[in-house]
Amino acid sequence: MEMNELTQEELNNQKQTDLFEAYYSKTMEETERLDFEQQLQSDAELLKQYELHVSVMEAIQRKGMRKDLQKIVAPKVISFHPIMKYVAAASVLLFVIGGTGFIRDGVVMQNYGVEQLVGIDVSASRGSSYETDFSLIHSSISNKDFATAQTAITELRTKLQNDADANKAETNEEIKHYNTQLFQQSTDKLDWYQTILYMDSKQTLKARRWLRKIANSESLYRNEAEYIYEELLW
Amino acid sequence: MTDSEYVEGFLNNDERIIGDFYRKYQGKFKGYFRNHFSKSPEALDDLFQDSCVTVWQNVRLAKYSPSQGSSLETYLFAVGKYRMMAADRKYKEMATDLDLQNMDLVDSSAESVEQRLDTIEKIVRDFPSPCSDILIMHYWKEYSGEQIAEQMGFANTDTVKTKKYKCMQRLKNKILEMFA
Repeated sequence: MEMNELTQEELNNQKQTDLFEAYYSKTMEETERLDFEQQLQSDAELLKQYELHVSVMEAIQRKGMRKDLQKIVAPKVISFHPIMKYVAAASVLLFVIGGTGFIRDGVVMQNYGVEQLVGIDVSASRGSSYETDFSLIHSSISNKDFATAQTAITELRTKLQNDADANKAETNEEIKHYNTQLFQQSTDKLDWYQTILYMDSKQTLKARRWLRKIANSESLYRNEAEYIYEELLW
Repeated sequence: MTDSEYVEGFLNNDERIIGDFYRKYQGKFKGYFRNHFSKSPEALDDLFQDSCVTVWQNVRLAKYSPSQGSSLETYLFAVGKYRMMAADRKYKEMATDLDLQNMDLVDSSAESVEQRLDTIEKIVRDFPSPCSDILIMHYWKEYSGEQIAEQMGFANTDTVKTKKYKCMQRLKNKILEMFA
């Protein structure tokens, strides 16, 4: 017997699997279905085997769906097509003439900014000293105090950079690694707050630049940025 | 997009609609679970993806339909809470959550069943290629024997049947070893 051939026992098991799958997919003839249902009711071992087979089939489907979903939502690189510089020039002209396009974008961006602010989590992880800074930024933007928010963002960015530089001298590898991750996550969050501030304050050109930058990066917020950027492009 | 349009999209595996659903609820879902359960960004990514996949599958298996009374958004959040509860025993008190009970997502007497399903899920996730690929092509993509043979470079459809059977048996044996 060749390695790829099934034994008689395996062939019998295969037949049973075919029955399970026909019953599950409701492709059995009515009389066959009723007969099989009766077997499942009276034979506990058969029922157990059927339930296991169904659980495994559905788990395999979920694995396939997960792979497909990851492909569907994977961030795409958004390149600034050369034609866009002409579009940008035309937009400036429009702004001079009427400017309604930018005003609309500003309102739309403001709505996105407010929505994203609601969803963002203020606390940094594991008791970091940045929690107070993020709370201030969050509350300032919520209260439309953009000047205070911008100052706080700039100051926190400097603090993060200084702490990251100091971390280079850390001798404990575990602590160094943890700190590096914390700085990266905090920087991602700070960049996102900066973007939200631009959106909320209708600084549309700056908001677009930041959205594109975040969407093309490894940031935690790249999916949100990509979504909003693509929505605004058209 | 309405819930009915999303349901239609799930039934047809429409990538555009599925992507839209994902992006629409991502911020709110992650924000809610971040604020209430202090999960890391990576854990939130996994939870949201798993919850979307569960909703997608349950729509296809007719375990959810809009006529049941709850919106897709409510259902998505309920699935998320259920997955939290299944993954972390400290959230067991969520079993009293009315959302989960009304949607048939929890049965506090069936804790061992949930644990078994969780074990099966983990083993299937970690099951390696090429067996995993063959099984996904058959059970999810619903490729024919000829299509699988062509993708995998097998000689003929008999080889596909044999490989598929042996892969499934290997997977089941791994699962049964865990339960022994």
